[in-house]
Amino acid sequence: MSIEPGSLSFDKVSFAVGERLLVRDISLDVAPGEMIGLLGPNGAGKSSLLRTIYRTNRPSSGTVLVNGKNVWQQSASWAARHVGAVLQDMPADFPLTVRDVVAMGRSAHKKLLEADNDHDRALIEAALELLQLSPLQARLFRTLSGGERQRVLVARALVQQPAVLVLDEPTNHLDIHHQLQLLRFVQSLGITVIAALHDLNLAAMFCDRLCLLNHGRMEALGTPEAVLTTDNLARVFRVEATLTRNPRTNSVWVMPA
Amino acid sequence: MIVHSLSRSIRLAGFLALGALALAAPALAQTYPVTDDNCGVTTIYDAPPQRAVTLSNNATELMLALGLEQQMAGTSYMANLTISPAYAEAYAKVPILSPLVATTEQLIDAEADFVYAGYPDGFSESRHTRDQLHDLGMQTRLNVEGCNLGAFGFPQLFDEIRSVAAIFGVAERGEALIGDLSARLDAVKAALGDAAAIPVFIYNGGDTAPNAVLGNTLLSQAVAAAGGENIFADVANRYGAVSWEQVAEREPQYIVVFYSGTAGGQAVADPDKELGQARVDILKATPAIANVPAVLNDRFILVNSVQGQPGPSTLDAVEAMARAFHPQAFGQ
Amino acid sequence: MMHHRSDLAASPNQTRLLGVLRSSQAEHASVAAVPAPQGRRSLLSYGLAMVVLTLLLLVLMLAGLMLGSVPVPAPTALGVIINAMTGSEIVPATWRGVYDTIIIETRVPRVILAAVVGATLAAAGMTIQAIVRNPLAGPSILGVSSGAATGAVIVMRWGLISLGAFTLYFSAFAGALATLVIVFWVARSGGQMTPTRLVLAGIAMSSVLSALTSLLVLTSPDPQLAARVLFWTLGGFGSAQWKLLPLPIAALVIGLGLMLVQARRLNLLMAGDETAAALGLNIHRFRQAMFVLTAALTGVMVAVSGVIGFVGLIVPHIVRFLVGADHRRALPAVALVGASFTVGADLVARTLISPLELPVGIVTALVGGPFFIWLLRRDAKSGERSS
Repeated sequence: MSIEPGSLSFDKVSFAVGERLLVRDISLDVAPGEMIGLLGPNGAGKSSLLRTIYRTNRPSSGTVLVNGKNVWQQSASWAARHVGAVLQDMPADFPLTVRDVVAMGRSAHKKLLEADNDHDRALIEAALELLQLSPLQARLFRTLSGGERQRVLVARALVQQPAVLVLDEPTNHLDIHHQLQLLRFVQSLGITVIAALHDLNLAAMFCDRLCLLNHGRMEALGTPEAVLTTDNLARVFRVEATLTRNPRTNSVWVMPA
Repeated sequence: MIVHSLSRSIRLAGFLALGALALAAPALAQTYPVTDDNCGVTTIYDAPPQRAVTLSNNATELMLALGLEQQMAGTSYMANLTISPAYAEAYAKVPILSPLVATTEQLIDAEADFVYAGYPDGFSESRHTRDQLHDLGMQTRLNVEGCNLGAFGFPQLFDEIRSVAAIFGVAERGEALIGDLSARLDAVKAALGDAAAIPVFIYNGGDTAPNAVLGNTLLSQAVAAAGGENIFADVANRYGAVSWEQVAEREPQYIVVFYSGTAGGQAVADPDKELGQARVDILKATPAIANVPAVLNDRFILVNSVQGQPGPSTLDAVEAMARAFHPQAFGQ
Repeated sequence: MMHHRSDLAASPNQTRLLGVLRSSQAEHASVAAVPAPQGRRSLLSYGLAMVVLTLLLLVLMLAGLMLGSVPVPAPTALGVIINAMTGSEIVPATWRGVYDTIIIETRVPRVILAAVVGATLAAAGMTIQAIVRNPLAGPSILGVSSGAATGAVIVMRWGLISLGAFTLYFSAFAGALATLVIVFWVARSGGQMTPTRLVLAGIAMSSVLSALTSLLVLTSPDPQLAARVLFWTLGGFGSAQWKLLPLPIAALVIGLGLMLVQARRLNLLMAGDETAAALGLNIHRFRQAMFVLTAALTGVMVAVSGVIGFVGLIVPHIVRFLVGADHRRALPAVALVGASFTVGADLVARTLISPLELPVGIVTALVGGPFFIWLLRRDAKSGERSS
């Protein structure tokens, strides 16, 4: 198993809790190596849609395909070998070390009772070093700052060697420096990424395409230029905004007013 | 398992030794084997036990009353109470294994071949089950009061004496003891004549709610034999919490204060004072029964568990209570 | 067109590390090996910890064989043990034969039962804590302990079954299993079993069953009922017999084996349901399977020894402190420490007021209770600091 960018497709995916439809009829194809951002106000259904990929929300209808295979018809461990998820946080009731948490990412690759081998250790060491966590590896996860935790969770997703990386509001706990650092890093991995993001400008800077959600529906899909329009922003976010360009990166820049 | 096979051989050796003892025992009038059906356990005795151990004071007295001290390897659970003077001399000849119920180890150490419990908790999963002791080569008996579901009276006590006497091949001593106890009962009855039974509360501790001795106990029948009437005789159980209001309403003329020698599972140094007299003080200090005749007239009598639990000394309690309840009948 | 905006030139080291992360098992050898000194060193200290814990258990078990309500001289006790273990009379048996019986027939099964029960309850407790993702939970929250007592009472009161010496042990186990089925049914909703529902269902069942047990005892005319039921509420190893040992030993071996097989998955449970699912765990099915396993194990142990409190609650904490929370390392250690804890507690119970005995449940509660309170206080303080 190695990291090769994989494809991700939603085919008419809906997800309901009881009578309430949180995700409505979403169809979306993400090409291998593409980085796509999910935008939308609170409760738009971003996290609900992402959870259908990493087998937490089973779609009430429609299919989620990774590398052409329905993740809900594959085993849970198959899914974890192909999809890595970086969630907003992780409960820290138990005294797990940073290394313990990162090592969890290897679970789906191991048979019952199979011990970690040199390859697993090499992956764990590499992920720790890549995210500058090596000095922290013996620390307890629960003693880390929000930003450090986030890096640990990214490291764990990396040792899963996923074809698709799912990020749910990964920049929530981070200051601006670490936000940029994390997104640059994720981008540099060259794997398929789907990320729910709050910051429209960061999304525009890093994503190949954006998907705008509202009330569980897809409102717009396309390049940042095509999605971040004053019309869309007024309709979905109910803000009047002026659009300009970031002078350094030339990406779309949204200035709410 | 090596350990286990060794233990088997030890057990086997024990059985062989037992067999040898049985052969050496003198011929008795009674014929063995004796089959003892007791509380759901059937035991066959090929010979009288030679090293009996008792697990409660009433069981100890019953054995001593049958003159079996030579066949006893130990007694336990006297809990600092006083043995009846009638059996004190014989009691002193038998080793005391523990103030509480003898442990499995102590029973093995005493090389017991027969274990006799007088209380229902003598055999339990907390200490030693009958099955466990049987596996260790010890035969067992539980005083039938310990598994009796209905009322337990003097006929049942006499049956218990008969059963123990039969196990030891001393049926004639059993009948003699029963005859003696019956005669004493009859004497009390004769002395009481047609004196009307007085209402009696049998108190077994408790302050917020009193714990009453109820209708299924021998003590309740002993009160009846002494010319009293247990005010809770109508409750078909052994012990139970009642309320002070009910005690007040039923207006006992006399209160029998029942007590054992242990508190919280441990033996107390002076049970008569710390448990018996202390309970009288509680009764006197309880406002709800301040106007009950027994309290107004300071009519309390202490009965400890040696006498109150089914055994030969229960007759001592009957006589003492009869004199207390009806002094005029005894010319006092 | 992908990554045209990547303005961060990857450093050579980063490129190398990404190469490692992309490598497959087969390619591993060709990638520059990354040394793992950290892992090695902790492995050594883990090995050392296991040796020390094993020795501690052996010493306590030996002490358990030497001490009891009948004083057996130490050399005699050692002689009995040596002869029994070698199966021949290496030490000349100059002592009374009863000492063989006392040690072999009562102390050895007692010490083994205490060790097996402690090991199993501690391992079950560690697993339960992962299942409900709450380090302050224990096997007793499942309600099976109360269920065992209720089962024993019902069978004693109405004499429903008769299996000789095993009747009450079997009915206690049946009661524990019946409780497990009810708790399972209550806690499950829509194919899912959430930690909160599980804990609440267990607590509710415990309360109902304790009340039912009291009611049955109080209204029963059977004098033996109360005395015998007490065993299941206080617990103890006094009635240990060889013939009662095979079932709990088999339960320990199978149960601990299954837990070790699932150790990686148990680790995932600690990270929360969502993360566990993302890391490849079929969370609800796994939680249900582990719940059945731990409840059955607890049921077997309660049936043979009554409720020994706090073992499954506090021993996992001690072990996580010693060797960390990774179940692959913690489960073997928790079994050893759990066994030492109960053997030690039983030792105290037998000797503190010798020749009388305390119920072992009192000793474990006296040691465990304050420790638990300290844990709660410590958690409260660290909670205050972090918020």
